[in-house]
Amino acid sequence: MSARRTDRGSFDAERFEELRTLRALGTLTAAECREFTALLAERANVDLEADDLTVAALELARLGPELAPLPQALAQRLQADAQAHFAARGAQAPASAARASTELANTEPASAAPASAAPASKARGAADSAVPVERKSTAPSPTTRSTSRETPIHELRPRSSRGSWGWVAAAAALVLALVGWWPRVAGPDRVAPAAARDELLAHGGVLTVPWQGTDFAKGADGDVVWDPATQRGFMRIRGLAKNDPAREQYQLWIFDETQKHPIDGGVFDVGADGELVIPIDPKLHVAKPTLFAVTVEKPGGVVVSAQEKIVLAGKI
Amino acid sequence: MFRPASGRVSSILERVATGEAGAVQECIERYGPLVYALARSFGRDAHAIEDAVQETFLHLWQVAARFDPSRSNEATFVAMIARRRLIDLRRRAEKHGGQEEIDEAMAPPAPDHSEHAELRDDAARAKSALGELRPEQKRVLELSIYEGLSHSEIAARTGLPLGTVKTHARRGLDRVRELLGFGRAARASGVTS
Repeated sequence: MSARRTDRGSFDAERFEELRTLRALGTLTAAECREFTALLAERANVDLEADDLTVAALELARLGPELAPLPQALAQRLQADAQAHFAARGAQAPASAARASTELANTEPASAAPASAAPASKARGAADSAVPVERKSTAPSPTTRSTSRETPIHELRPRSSRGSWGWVAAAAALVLALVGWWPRVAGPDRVAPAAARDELLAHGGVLTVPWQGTDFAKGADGDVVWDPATQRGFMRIRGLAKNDPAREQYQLWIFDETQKHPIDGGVFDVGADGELVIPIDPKLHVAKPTLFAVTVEKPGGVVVSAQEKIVLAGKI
Repeated sequence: MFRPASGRVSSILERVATGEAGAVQECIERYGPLVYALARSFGRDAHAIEDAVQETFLHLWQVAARFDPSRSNEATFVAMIARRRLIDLRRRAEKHGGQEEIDEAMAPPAPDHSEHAELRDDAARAKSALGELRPEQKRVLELSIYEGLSHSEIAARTGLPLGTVKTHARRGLDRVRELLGFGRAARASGVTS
Protein backbone atom coordinates (compact mmCIF):
# COMPACT_ATOMS: atom_id res chain seq x y z
CA MET A 1 0.00 0.00 0.00
CA SER A 2 1.22 3.50 -0.64
CA ALA A 3 0.35 6.79 0.89
CA ARG A 4 0.06 9.99 -1.03
CA ARG A 5 2.91 12.36 -0.41
CA THR A 6 3.31 16.03 -0.76
CA ASP A 7 5.38 17.33 -3.63
CA ARG A 8 8.33 17.28 -1.29
CA GLY A 9 7.71 13.66 -0.37
CA SER A 10 6.75 14.41 3.21
CA PHE A 11 3.72 13.23 5.12
CA ASP A 12 0.55 14.63 3.59
CA ALA A 13 -1.30 15.83 6.66
CA GLU A 14 -4.12 17.34 4.65
CA ARG A 15 -4.80 14.08 2.88
CA PHE A 16 -4.54 12.21 6.16
CA GLU A 17 -7.23 14.39 7.72
CA GLU A 18 -9.45 14.00 4.67
CA LEU A 19 -9.21 10.21 4.85
CA ARG A 20 -9.66 10.31 8.57
CA THR A 21 -12.92 12.15 8.11
CA LEU A 22 -14.06 9.65 5.49
CA ARG A 23 -13.23 6.81 7.83
CA ALA A 24 -15.23 8.36 10.64
CA LEU A 25 -18.16 8.80 8.31
CA GLY A 26 -17.87 5.20 7.16
CA THR A 27 -17.44 6.02 3.50
CA LEU A 28 -13.84 5.04 2.80
CA THR A 29 -13.37 3.07 -0.38
CA ALA A 30 -11.10 0.03 -0.35
CA ALA A 31 -8.31 1.99 -1.99
CA GLU A 32 -8.73 4.83 0.46
CA CYS A 33 -8.64 2.33 3.31
CA ARG A 34 -5.26 1.12 2.18
CA GLU A 35 -3.99 4.63 1.76
CA PHE A 36 -5.23 5.66 5.17
CA THR A 37 -3.67 2.61 6.76
CA ALA A 38 -0.34 3.52 5.25
CA LEU A 39 -0.56 7.09 6.44
CA LEU A 40 -1.75 6.06 9.85
CA ALA A 41 1.28 3.85 10.28
CA GLU A 42 3.35 7.03 10.28
CA ARG A 43 1.29 8.62 13.00
CA ALA A 44 1.45 7.69 16.65
CA ASN A 45 -1.55 7.41 18.88
CA VAL A 46 -4.16 8.90 16.64
CA ASP A 47 -7.38 9.11 18.58
CA LEU A 48 -9.77 7.49 16.15
CA GLU A 49 -12.14 6.62 18.94
CA ALA A 50 -12.89 10.30 19.40
CA ASP A 51 -13.96 10.44 15.77
CA ASP A 52 -16.16 7.42 16.22
CA LEU A 53 -17.72 8.77 19.38
CA THR A 54 -18.55 11.99 17.59
CA VAL A 55 -20.32 10.26 14.74
CA ALA A 56 -22.03 7.91 17.16
CA ALA A 57 -23.38 10.90 19.04
CA LEU A 58 -24.77 12.30 15.81
CA GLU A 59 -26.44 8.97 15.17
CA LEU A 60 -28.12 9.29 18.54
CA ALA A 61 -29.33 12.72 17.54
CA ARG A 62 -30.92 11.26 14.46
CA LEU A 63 -32.52 8.35 16.23
CA GLY A 64 -33.78 10.31 19.18
CA PRO A 65 -34.87 8.74 22.44
CA GLU A 66 -38.04 7.12 21.19
CA LEU A 67 -36.93 3.81 19.83
CA ALA A 68 -38.89 0.80 18.76
CA PRO A 69 -38.54 -2.17 21.09
CA LEU A 70 -36.60 -5.24 20.15
CA PRO A 71 -38.58 -8.06 18.61
CA GLN A 72 -39.18 -10.55 21.39
CA ALA A 73 -37.59 -13.46 19.57
CA LEU A 74 -34.46 -11.43 18.93
CA ALA A 75 -34.28 -10.37 22.55
CA GLN A 76 -34.45 -14.01 23.56
CA ARG A 77 -31.64 -14.90 21.21
CA LEU A 78 -29.51 -12.10 22.61
CA GLN A 79 -30.11 -13.45 26.07
CA ALA A 80 -29.16 -16.94 24.99
CA ASP A 81 -26.05 -15.66 23.24
CA ALA A 82 -25.04 -13.71 26.31
CA GLN A 83 -25.63 -16.58 28.67
CA ALA A 84 -23.55 -18.83 26.50
CA HIS A 85 -20.81 -16.26 26.21
CA PHE A 86 -20.53 -15.60 29.90
CA ALA A 87 -21.04 -19.22 30.81
CA ALA A 88 -17.83 -20.01 29.05
CA ARG A 89 -15.98 -17.41 31.03
CA GLY A 90 -17.76 -18.24 34.22
CA ALA A 91 -16.83 -21.87 33.92
CA GLN A 92 -13.21 -20.89 33.79
CA ALA A 93 -13.25 -18.22 36.44
CA PRO A 94 -12.29 -20.22 39.53
CA ALA A 95 -9.15 -21.57 37.93
CA SER A 96 -8.31 -18.14 36.67
CA ALA A 97 -8.73 -16.56 40.04
CA ALA A 98 -6.58 -19.16 41.64
CA ARG A 99 -3.87 -18.59 39.13
CA ALA A 100 -3.96 -14.87 39.57
CA SER A 101 -3.65 -15.10 43.29
CA THR A 102 -1.05 -17.77 43.65
CA GLU A 103 0.98 -17.78 40.50
CA LEU A 104 1.45 -21.49 41.08
CA ALA A 105 2.32 -23.79 38.29
CA ASN A 106 -0.78 -24.01 36.24
CA THR A 107 -1.89 -27.15 34.55
CA GLU A 108 -5.46 -26.23 33.94
CA PRO A 109 -6.65 -27.22 30.52
CA ALA A 110 -7.35 -24.39 28.16
CA SER A 111 -10.49 -26.07 27.17
CA ALA A 112 -13.36 -25.31 29.42
CA ALA A 113 -15.34 -23.08 27.15
CA PRO A 114 -18.29 -24.76 25.57
CA ALA A 115 -18.83 -23.95 21.96
CA SER A 116 -22.14 -22.51 22.89
CA ALA A 117 -20.27 -19.66 24.43
CA ALA A 118 -18.76 -18.59 21.20
CA PRO A 119 -20.28 -15.52 19.67
CA ALA A 120 -23.08 -17.83 18.86
CA SER A 121 -24.00 -17.74 15.27
CA LYS A 122 -21.58 -15.09 14.25
CA ALA A 123 -18.56 -15.84 16.30
CA ARG A 124 -15.40 -15.38 14.42
CA GLY A 125 -14.10 -18.83 13.90
CA ALA A 126 -10.78 -19.23 15.43
CA ALA A 127 -7.50 -19.33 13.80
CA ASP A 128 -7.87 -20.98 10.50
CA SER A 129 -4.50 -22.48 10.86
CA ALA A 130 -3.96 -22.39 14.56
CA VAL A 131 -4.39 -25.55 16.50
CA PRO A 132 -7.97 -26.51 17.08
CA VAL A 133 -8.52 -27.01 20.75
CA GLU A 134 -10.51 -29.95 21.87
CA ARG A 135 -12.91 -28.91 24.54
CA LYS A 136 -14.58 -30.62 27.36
CA SER A 137 -17.90 -29.07 27.93
CA THR A 138 -18.95 -28.80 31.52
CA ALA A 139 -22.53 -29.54 30.67
CA PRO A 140 -24.50 -31.13 27.90
CA SER A 141 -24.48 -28.51 25.28
CA PRO A 142 -24.70 -27.87 21.59
CA THR A 143 -20.97 -28.33 21.55
CA THR A 144 -21.54 -31.79 20.27
CA ARG A 145 -23.21 -30.39 17.21
CA SER A 146 -20.28 -28.24 16.36
CA THR A 147 -17.66 -30.60 15.16
CA SER A 148 -14.03 -29.72 14.69
CA ARG A 149 -14.65 -26.16 15.59
CA GLU A 150 -11.55 -24.12 16.08
CA THR A 151 -11.23 -21.88 19.05
CA PRO A 152 -10.87 -18.13 19.13
CA ILE A 153 -7.99 -17.11 21.25
CA HIS A 154 -10.12 -15.28 23.71
CA GLU A 155 -11.79 -18.54 24.56
CA LEU A 156 -8.64 -20.51 24.95
CA ARG A 157 -7.94 -19.36 28.44
CA PRO A 158 -9.57 -17.61 31.30
CA ARG A 159 -8.88 -13.93 31.57
CA SER A 160 -10.39 -12.74 34.74
CA SER A 161 -12.34 -13.76 37.71
CA ARG A 162 -15.95 -13.92 36.78
CA GLY A 163 -17.21 -16.00 39.56
CA SER A 164 -20.57 -14.37 39.56
CA TRP A 165 -21.16 -15.75 36.10
CA GLY A 166 -20.38 -19.28 37.14
CA TRP A 167 -23.94 -19.96 38.07
CA VAL A 168 -25.03 -19.77 34.50
CA ALA A 169 -22.54 -22.30 33.24
CA ALA A 170 -24.74 -25.32 33.46
CA ALA A 171 -27.95 -23.40 32.97
CA ALA A 172 -26.76 -21.87 29.76
CA ALA A 173 -26.33 -25.13 27.98
CA LEU A 174 -29.76 -26.19 29.08
CA VAL A 175 -31.22 -22.90 27.92
CA LEU A 176 -29.54 -23.24 24.59
CA ALA A 177 -30.99 -26.66 24.12
CA LEU A 178 -34.46 -25.66 25.22
CA VAL A 179 -34.74 -22.38 23.43
CA GLY A 180 -34.02 -24.05 20.18
CA TRP A 181 -31.98 -21.29 18.64
CA TRP A 182 -29.04 -23.44 17.86
CA PRO A 183 -29.98 -24.48 14.34
CA ARG A 184 -30.43 -20.84 13.44
CA VAL A 185 -27.31 -19.48 14.98
CA ALA A 186 -25.17 -22.34 13.82
CA GLY A 187 -26.13 -21.74 10.28
CA PRO A 188 -24.12 -18.87 8.89
CA ASP A 189 -20.49 -19.49 8.18
CA ARG A 190 -18.01 -18.20 10.59
CA VAL A 191 -15.42 -15.90 9.17
CA ALA A 192 -11.96 -17.36 9.31
CA PRO A 193 -9.39 -15.19 11.03
CA ALA A 194 -7.46 -14.71 7.82
CA ALA A 195 -10.54 -13.29 6.13
CA ALA A 196 -11.46 -11.26 9.18
CA ARG A 197 -7.96 -9.85 9.21
CA ASP A 198 -8.27 -8.82 5.59
CA GLU A 199 -11.56 -7.14 6.34
CA LEU A 200 -10.08 -5.30 9.27
CA LEU A 201 -7.28 -4.04 7.07
CA ALA A 202 -9.74 -3.06 4.40
CA HIS A 203 -11.68 -0.62 6.50
CA GLY A 204 -8.58 1.26 7.47
CA GLY A 205 -7.41 2.88 10.62
CA VAL A 206 -5.45 -0.13 11.74
CA LEU A 207 -1.86 -0.42 12.84
CA THR A 208 0.31 -2.93 11.03
CA VAL A 209 3.35 -3.95 13.02
CA PRO A 210 5.87 -6.38 11.53
CA TRP A 211 7.56 -8.70 14.00
CA GLN A 212 10.58 -10.93 13.85
CA GLY A 213 11.71 -14.03 15.65
CA THR A 214 14.37 -13.65 18.32
CA ASP A 215 17.28 -15.97 18.90
CA PHE A 216 14.77 -18.43 20.32
CA ALA A 217 12.89 -18.49 17.04
CA LYS A 218 15.25 -17.53 14.30
CA GLY A 219 13.53 -17.13 10.98
CA ALA A 220 10.08 -16.64 12.42
CA ASP A 221 8.24 -13.56 11.31
CA GLY A 222 4.84 -12.12 10.54
CA ASP A 223 2.95 -9.10 11.71
CA VAL A 224 0.27 -7.78 14.00
CA VAL A 225 -2.67 -5.76 12.79
CA TRP A 226 -4.51 -3.81 15.42
CA ASP A 227 -7.52 -1.55 15.21
CA PRO A 228 -7.36 0.97 18.06
CA ALA A 229 -10.97 1.99 17.53
CA THR A 230 -12.59 -1.39 17.83
CA GLN A 231 -9.81 -2.99 19.87
CA ARG A 232 -9.67 -5.86 17.46
CA GLY A 233 -6.59 -7.36 15.93
CA PHE A 234 -4.82 -10.38 14.56
CA MET A 235 -1.42 -11.94 14.79
CA ARG A 236 0.10 -13.38 11.68
CA ILE A 237 2.90 -15.82 12.35
CA ARG A 238 5.22 -17.81 10.16
CA GLY A 239 7.95 -20.17 11.19
CA LEU A 240 7.24 -20.52 14.88
CA ALA A 241 7.99 -23.98 16.25
CA LYS A 242 5.16 -26.28 17.14
CA ASN A 243 4.55 -26.53 20.85
CA ASP A 244 3.34 -29.26 23.14
CA PRO A 245 0.37 -27.69 24.96
CA ALA A 246 0.87 -30.06 27.88
CA ARG A 247 4.30 -28.59 28.48
CA GLU A 248 4.20 -25.00 27.28
CA GLN A 249 2.15 -22.52 25.33
CA TYR A 250 2.71 -19.29 23.52
CA GLN A 251 1.32 -16.09 24.98
CA LEU A 252 0.89 -12.70 23.39
CA TRP A 253 1.74 -9.53 25.29
CA ILE A 254 0.88 -5.99 24.36
CA PHE A 255 3.09 -3.34 25.86
CA ASP A 256 1.17 -0.18 26.47
CA GLU A 257 2.47 3.17 27.65
CA THR A 258 -0.45 3.55 29.98
CA GLN A 259 -0.10 0.20 31.72
CA LYS A 260 2.38 -0.84 34.35
CA HIS A 261 2.53 -4.38 33.04
CA PRO A 262 2.12 -5.71 29.51
CA ILE A 263 -1.43 -6.58 28.62
CA ASP A 264 -2.20 -10.24 28.21
CA GLY A 265 -3.21 -10.82 24.60
CA GLY A 266 -4.05 -14.50 25.00
CA VAL A 267 -2.55 -17.94 24.91
CA PHE A 268 -2.27 -19.97 21.75
CA ASP A 269 -0.67 -23.05 20.28
CA VAL A 270 1.18 -23.68 17.09
CA GLY A 271 0.53 -27.08 15.67
CA ALA A 272 0.71 -26.55 11.97
CA ASP A 273 3.27 -25.43 9.49
CA GLY A 274 2.75 -22.43 7.33
CA GLU A 275 1.14 -19.14 8.16
CA LEU A 276 -1.08 -18.76 11.18
CA VAL A 277 -3.61 -16.01 11.71
CA ILE A 278 -4.82 -15.76 15.28
CA PRO A 279 -7.29 -13.25 16.72
CA ILE A 280 -6.26 -10.97 19.56
CA ASP A 281 -8.68 -10.13 22.31
CA PRO A 282 -6.96 -8.39 25.19
CA LYS A 283 -8.78 -8.10 28.42
CA LEU A 284 -7.69 -4.54 29.05
CA HIS A 285 -8.16 -1.55 26.85
CA VAL A 286 -5.08 -0.95 24.74
CA ALA A 287 -4.55 2.79 24.72
CA LYS A 288 -1.02 3.40 23.53
CA PRO A 289 0.59 0.20 22.31
CA THR A 290 4.32 0.31 21.85
CA LEU A 291 5.31 -3.28 21.29
CA PHE A 292 3.79 -6.67 20.64
CA ALA A 293 5.66 -9.73 21.86
CA VAL A 294 5.12 -13.47 22.18
CA THR A 295 6.60 -15.44 25.04
CA VAL A 296 6.71 -19.11 25.88
CA GLU A 297 4.92 -19.81 29.12
CA LYS A 298 3.61 -22.70 31.13
CA PRO A 299 0.34 -24.27 29.97
CA GLY A 300 -2.52 -21.86 30.43
CA GLY A 301 -0.25 -18.87 30.42
CA VAL A 302 0.68 -16.55 33.24
CA VAL A 303 -0.68 -13.32 34.61
CA VAL A 304 2.69 -11.59 34.67
CA SER A 305 5.42 -12.93 32.47
CA ALA A 306 9.03 -13.11 33.49
CA GLN A 307 9.74 -12.66 29.78
CA GLU A 308 12.48 -15.23 29.97
CA LYS A 309 11.75 -16.60 26.53
CA ILE A 310 10.54 -14.03 24.06
CA VAL A 311 10.20 -15.60 20.64
CA LEU A 312 8.62 -12.83 18.59
CA ALA A 313 8.66 -9.08 18.97
CA GLY A 314 7.52 -6.13 16.94
CA LYS A 315 7.97 -2.53 17.98
CA ILE A 316 5.59 0.19 16.88
CA MET B 1 -17.94 16.83 28.16
CA PHE B 2 -20.52 14.50 26.78
CA ARG B 3 -20.92 12.48 29.89
CA PRO B 4 -23.59 10.74 31.88
CA ALA B 5 -25.86 12.82 33.97
CA SER B 6 -24.61 13.32 37.44
CA GLY B 7 -25.66 10.78 39.97
CA ARG B 8 -25.02 7.73 37.84
CA VAL B 9 -22.91 5.57 40.05
CA SER B 10 -22.09 2.53 38.02
CA SER B 11 -22.90 2.02 34.40
CA ILE B 12 -24.43 -1.11 33.03
CA LEU B 13 -21.35 -1.91 31.00
CA GLU B 14 -19.13 -1.55 34.03
CA ARG B 15 -21.33 -4.04 35.81
CA VAL B 16 -21.31 -6.34 32.82
CA ALA B 17 -17.53 -6.19 32.77
CA THR B 18 -17.28 -7.09 36.42
CA GLY B 19 -19.59 -10.01 35.99
CA GLU B 20 -22.65 -8.78 37.75
CA ALA B 21 -25.53 -11.11 37.14
CA GLY B 22 -28.51 -9.30 35.76
CA ALA B 23 -26.49 -6.58 34.11
CA VAL B 24 -26.59 -8.36 30.78
CA GLN B 25 -30.34 -8.48 30.70
CA GLU B 26 -30.49 -4.85 31.72
CA CYS B 27 -28.05 -3.97 28.98
CA ILE B 28 -30.11 -5.75 26.35
CA GLU B 29 -33.27 -4.10 27.57
CA ARG B 30 -31.76 -0.64 27.61
CA TYR B 31 -29.58 -0.69 24.53
CA GLY B 32 -31.23 -3.39 22.44
CA PRO B 33 -33.58 -0.87 20.84
CA LEU B 34 -30.67 1.44 20.09
CA VAL B 35 -28.59 -1.24 18.40
CA TYR B 36 -31.64 -2.52 16.59
CA ALA B 37 -32.46 0.95 15.30
CA LEU B 38 -28.91 1.45 14.08
CA ALA B 39 -28.91 -1.93 12.39
CA ARG B 40 -32.14 -1.08 10.66
CA SER B 41 -30.58 2.06 9.28
CA PHE B 42 -27.80 0.03 7.73
CA GLY B 43 -30.00 -2.47 5.92
CA ARG B 44 -33.44 -3.77 5.37
CA ASP B 45 -33.02 -7.51 5.20
CA ALA B 46 -34.68 -8.92 8.28
CA HIS B 47 -32.25 -11.73 8.93
CA ALA B 48 -29.23 -9.59 8.23
CA ILE B 49 -30.45 -6.98 10.68
CA GLU B 50 -31.01 -9.50 13.42
CA ASP B 51 -27.70 -11.17 12.74
CA ALA B 52 -26.03 -7.78 12.95
CA VAL B 53 -27.67 -7.06 16.28
CA GLN B 54 -26.49 -10.40 17.63
CA GLU B 55 -22.95 -9.81 16.42
CA THR B 56 -22.91 -6.36 17.88
CA PHE B 57 -23.98 -7.51 21.31
CA LEU B 58 -21.49 -10.33 21.34
CA HIS B 59 -18.80 -7.82 20.57
CA LEU B 60 -20.18 -5.53 23.22
CA TRP B 61 -19.80 -8.23 25.87
CA GLN B 62 -16.19 -8.58 24.85
CA VAL B 63 -15.36 -4.90 25.02
CA ALA B 64 -17.57 -3.85 27.91
CA ALA B 65 -14.51 -3.35 30.10
CA ARG B 66 -13.26 -0.75 27.66
CA PHE B 67 -16.05 1.64 28.47
CA ASP B 68 -14.66 4.73 30.12
CA PRO B 69 -17.36 6.85 31.74
CA SER B 70 -14.97 9.75 31.97
CA ARG B 71 -14.80 9.91 28.21
CA SER B 72 -18.29 9.35 26.94
CA ASN B 73 -21.77 8.51 27.89
CA GLU B 74 -22.63 4.84 27.84
CA ALA B 75 -25.23 5.17 25.10
CA THR B 76 -22.70 6.91 22.88
CA PHE B 77 -20.17 4.18 23.51
CA VAL B 78 -22.71 1.49 22.64
CA ALA B 79 -23.68 3.39 19.50
CA MET B 80 -20.03 3.68 18.54
CA ILE B 81 -19.38 -0.03 18.96
CA ALA B 82 -22.54 -0.84 17.04
CA ARG B 83 -21.81 1.55 14.24
CA ARG B 84 -18.28 0.32 13.66
CA ARG B 85 -19.48 -3.25 13.66
CA LEU B 86 -22.28 -2.43 11.27
CA ILE B 87 -19.84 -0.73 8.92
CA ASP B 88 -17.74 -3.89 9.00
CA LEU B 89 -20.75 -6.00 8.19
CA ARG B 90 -21.81 -3.70 5.39
CA ARG B 91 -18.37 -3.89 3.84
CA ARG B 92 -18.47 -7.65 4.12
CA ALA B 93 -21.86 -7.78 2.45
CA GLU B 94 -20.72 -5.46 -0.31
CA LYS B 95 -17.63 -7.53 -0.81
CA HIS B 96 -19.71 -10.64 -1.29
CA GLY B 97 -22.30 -8.93 -3.43
CA GLY B 98 -25.06 -9.26 -0.90
CA GLN B 99 -28.36 -7.86 -1.98
CA GLU B 100 -30.72 -6.22 0.40
CA GLU B 101 -34.31 -7.16 0.29
CA ILE B 102 -37.18 -5.29 1.75
CA ASP B 103 -38.91 -7.39 4.31
CA GLU B 104 -42.33 -6.19 5.23
CA ALA B 105 -42.16 -8.23 8.38
CA MET B 106 -39.49 -5.83 9.54
CA ALA B 107 -41.80 -2.86 9.61
CA PRO B 108 -40.87 -1.06 12.79
CA PRO B 109 -43.05 -1.52 15.81
CA ALA B 110 -44.55 1.56 17.34
CA PRO B 111 -41.97 3.65 19.17
CA ASP B 112 -41.80 3.21 22.86
CA HIS B 113 -42.16 6.60 24.48
CA SER B 114 -41.35 5.59 27.98
CA GLU B 115 -38.40 3.21 28.18
CA HIS B 116 -35.62 5.12 26.50
CA ALA B 117 -35.57 8.37 28.36
CA GLU B 118 -31.92 7.73 29.22
CA LEU B 119 -31.04 8.38 25.61
CA ARG B 120 -32.82 11.68 25.52
CA ASP B 121 -29.97 13.67 27.01
CA ASP B 122 -27.42 12.20 24.65
CA ALA B 123 -29.58 12.79 21.65
CA ALA B 124 -30.40 16.32 22.70
CA ARG B 125 -26.78 17.28 23.20
CA ALA B 126 -25.73 15.92 19.85
CA LYS B 127 -28.68 17.53 18.14
CA SER B 128 -27.81 20.80 19.77
CA ALA B 129 -24.22 20.49 18.57
CA LEU B 130 -25.39 19.76 15.06
CA GLY B 131 -27.59 22.82 15.24
CA GLU B 132 -24.60 25.02 15.92
CA LEU B 133 -22.96 24.16 12.65
CA ARG B 134 -23.14 26.31 9.60
CA PRO B 135 -26.10 25.18 7.51
CA GLU B 136 -23.94 23.77 4.73
CA GLN B 137 -21.78 21.84 7.19
CA LYS B 138 -24.87 20.44 8.85
CA ARG B 139 -26.33 19.45 5.50
CA VAL B 140 -23.19 17.65 4.39
CA LEU B 141 -22.90 15.70 7.63
CA GLU B 142 -26.55 14.74 7.55
CA LEU B 143 -26.28 13.47 4.00
CA SER B 144 -23.13 11.57 4.84
CA ILE B 145 -24.06 10.03 8.17
CA TYR B 146 -27.81 9.74 7.89
CA GLU B 147 -28.13 8.90 4.23
CA GLY B 148 -24.78 7.22 3.73
CA LEU B 149 -23.84 9.30 0.70
CA SER B 150 -20.25 9.57 -0.45
CA HIS B 151 -18.70 12.98 -0.86
CA SER B 152 -19.12 12.74 -4.61
CA GLU B 153 -22.77 11.88 -4.21
CA ILE B 154 -23.23 14.78 -1.84
CA ALA B 155 -21.59 17.09 -4.36
CA ALA B 156 -23.95 15.86 -7.04
CA ARG B 157 -26.97 16.19 -4.76
CA THR B 158 -26.17 19.65 -3.48
CA GLY B 159 -24.34 21.15 -6.42
CA LEU B 160 -21.40 22.01 -4.21
CA PRO B 161 -17.88 21.48 -5.53
CA LEU B 162 -16.36 18.23 -4.26
CA GLY B 163 -13.59 20.05 -2.46
CA THR B 164 -16.12 22.19 -0.67
CA VAL B 165 -18.04 19.10 0.43
CA LYS B 166 -14.88 17.61 1.86
CA THR B 167 -14.11 20.80 3.71
CA HIS B 168 -17.59 21.06 5.15
CA ALA B 169 -17.51 17.44 6.27
CA ARG B 170 -14.20 17.76 7.96
CA ARG B 171 -14.80 21.10 9.62
CA GLY B 172 -18.29 20.15 10.60
CA LEU B 173 -17.12 16.94 12.21
CA ASP B 174 -14.33 18.76 13.97
CA ARG B 175 -16.78 21.29 15.30
CA VAL B 176 -19.20 18.71 16.62
CA ARG B 177 -16.37 16.84 18.18
CA GLU B 178 -15.20 20.01 19.87
CA LEU B 179 -18.69 20.87 21.08
CA LEU B 180 -19.17 17.42 22.53
CA GLY B 181 -15.74 17.41 24.11
CA PHE B 182 -14.25 14.41 22.36
CA GLY B 183 -10.52 15.03 22.10
CA ARG B 184 -10.58 18.56 20.78
CA ALA B 185 -6.84 19.06 21.06
CA ALA B 186 -6.08 15.69 19.59
CA ARG B 187 -7.98 16.44 16.42
CA ALA B 188 -6.39 19.79 16.05
CA SER B 189 -2.95 18.27 15.91
CA GLY B 190 -3.92 14.95 14.49
CA VAL B 191 -2.18 13.16 17.29
CA THR B 192 -3.18 12.62 20.84
CA SER B 193 -0.93 13.88 23.48
